[in-house]
Amino acid sequence: MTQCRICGRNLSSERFCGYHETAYQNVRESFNEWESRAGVTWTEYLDRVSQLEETGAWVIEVIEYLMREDDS
Amino acid sequence: MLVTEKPSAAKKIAKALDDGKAPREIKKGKISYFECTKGGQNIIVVYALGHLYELKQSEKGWTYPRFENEWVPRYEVDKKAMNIKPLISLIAKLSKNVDGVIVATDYDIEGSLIGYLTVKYACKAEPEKAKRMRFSALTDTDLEHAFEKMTELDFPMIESGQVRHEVDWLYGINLTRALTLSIKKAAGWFKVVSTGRVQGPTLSFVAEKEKEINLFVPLPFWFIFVVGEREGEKFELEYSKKQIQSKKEAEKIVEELSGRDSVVKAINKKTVEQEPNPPFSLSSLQSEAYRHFGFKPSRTLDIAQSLYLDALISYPRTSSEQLPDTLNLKSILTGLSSMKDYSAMSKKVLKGRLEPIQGKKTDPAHPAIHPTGEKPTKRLTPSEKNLYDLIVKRFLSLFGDSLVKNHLRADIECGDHKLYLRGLQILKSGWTEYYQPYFKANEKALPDIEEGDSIRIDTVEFEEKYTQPPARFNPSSLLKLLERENLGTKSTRARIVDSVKSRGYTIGERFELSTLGYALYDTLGQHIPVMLSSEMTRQLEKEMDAIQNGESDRIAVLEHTKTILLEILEKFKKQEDQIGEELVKGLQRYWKDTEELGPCPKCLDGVLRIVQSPKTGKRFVGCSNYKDGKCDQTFPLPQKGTISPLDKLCPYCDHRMIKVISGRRAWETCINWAQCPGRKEELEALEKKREKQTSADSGGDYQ
Repeated sequence: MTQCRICGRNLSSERFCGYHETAYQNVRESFNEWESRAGVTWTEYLDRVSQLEETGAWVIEVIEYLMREDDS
Repeated sequence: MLVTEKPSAAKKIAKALDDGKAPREIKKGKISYFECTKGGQNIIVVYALGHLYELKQSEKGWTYPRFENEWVPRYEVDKKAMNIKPLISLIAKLSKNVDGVIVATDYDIEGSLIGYLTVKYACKAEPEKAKRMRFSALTDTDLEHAFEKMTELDFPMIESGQVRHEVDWLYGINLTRALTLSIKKAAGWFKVVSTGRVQGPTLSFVAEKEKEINLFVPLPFWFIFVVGEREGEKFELEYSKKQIQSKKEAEKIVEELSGRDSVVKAINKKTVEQEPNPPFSLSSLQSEAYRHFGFKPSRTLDIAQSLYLDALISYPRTSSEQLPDTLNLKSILTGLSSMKDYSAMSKKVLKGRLEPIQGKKTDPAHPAIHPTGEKPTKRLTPSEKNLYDLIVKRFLSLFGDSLVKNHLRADIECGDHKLYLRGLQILKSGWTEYYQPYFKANEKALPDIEEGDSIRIDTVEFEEKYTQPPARFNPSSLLKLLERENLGTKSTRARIVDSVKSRGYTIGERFELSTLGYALYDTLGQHIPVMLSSEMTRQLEKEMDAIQNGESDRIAVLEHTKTILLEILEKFKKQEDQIGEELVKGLQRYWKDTEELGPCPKCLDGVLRIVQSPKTGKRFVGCSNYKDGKCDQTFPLPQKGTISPLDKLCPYCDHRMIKVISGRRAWETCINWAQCPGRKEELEALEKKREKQTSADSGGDYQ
């Protein structure tokens, strides 16, 4: 597969294009901060961030992808 | 013969110069000119309609690179400009029997170039022999003075204007063709995708901001909300830390403050003096007009231009924040004092020392924007009235004393916790008296407390909040950024800001990048990043300014531009296939996002799309199977505003929802809005509300 699994742009990592890969890195890095501030688990974190209106569109797309992947 | 820029300016100038203040307007079909007499001389006053001449490619072929061009009548390039054809003929005919030509266009780069090209090509006269009137307001006094003190044409300014057009033409034509032809080669479509010298960097600013927003992960923090109580009076206290970084800490603070008594440790008072804001430059006027009236910068410029042509304000395309000593302030204020709305304030200012506050920025050609003191001779539109009021009040405020205010802060302690209570007291309103309603103080008194007093903590709670993504640009903030980055000129920036939206690269009032904008930004960023770079265009701006200052010349700047452009185009050509393919993918995504509305509910086979009627130009929703004669499903659409498909269905009728943005108003509806039972309910409820209101207004409840 040569296309981003979310948007179809060219891949820049194994799964994502440059934009969604950066969004994925941001999601991973921000978890530590959320864990220490709010004491949430990874799943709770994804669920809460995906529902906030402040969250960036690409971040939401990555979270939805990760949640779908977890379900399957 | 005197050449002006617009019909209204021609009329004003003819009237100002005519000894009897009654020039004759000679009509020639739909156009006209004026005849006036000054000191025994007969003067013909003609007008242009902005630029009469434009650059046109002089080599054949819709391809690139193309570097050769020539000035031709504008109607040869723009079919919509046929109205200037008789104007050029009239000027050419009248100019055969004149002793000399005087340029009386706006005194700036564009105005000087309009005058020069008209003298050279329409009058076929020698520009070196022409004279120039320089003025900053269309008042009789300014115009008579400019006529008496005529100079030679300002050739460095003209050359700078000419080269600006040539450089922009070279970039715009060649880069737009390169992009468009790459799409044609990749997909066979002819879809014009444009970019330009300043448009590329502007797109880049918007895209960088959009990236930050799209990649943003909010972090939680906690806000402590405290209400204190003393002698039955309750008031909100401010916790010393605005953001608490962990929930546990927030819980601890709430626990430690709950039901406790706090003590007022100190009451601090800081007296601050605030001078009036400086006079308006175009950019600060655009910013303030957006803040108070929501006017886009281009709209503010248009309205200001109209006020200038009515001789109500000085020339608006200025960077200056200063009023020169030579300006007759007394006469302006006397004029304003004869207007009902400004009479009392102007008379008050006239009693004091007429020394306005000055800003830092200067402009060699024009002073800061100010009223002329002339009374409006026609009824102003509401927008003109608003802008004029803002300009007059800013002008009056320049003469006011400083605003003096006390910032008050009570420091309160409760155990290890610090709390504050803030207040603001206006001691002297100073200049703000003149600047109403555009200045709001939000005065707030402190409760009646003294040092050592006890305040009971009545309520303490924490609230979870989240860090915010950076704000998107609005027209005003994007224009300010271009000014800060020295991109474009005060005359062109507003148009550039509009162009990123009109070309489909952004959506909505807040410059949200569209998928097409992304596609262009991504593709250029990956293959030809210099086309997005502000550094290259900033350097060109410097070179063009150097021409105006006499430090460089047109040929050198053009040669440099062509060398850079040739390098870019060669690089582009090598990657044309890949660039074309990426743009095509972007365009497909863009059309899907902006035009597709899901499967057709009638034939279940086609796709609903927003289409425009080739006959009426009206937009509506139609099925993709219409062309094959398989499906005739259509839905009407609102004709005003921007429409974007939403990823949700109507709860009443299951049709796709759309968002309509018109001006600052945005609303959601479904494509079936004309038949939707939900909308019918809404309309009925609205009708009932109106009936109730009408009944209440006519006293129906009491009859």
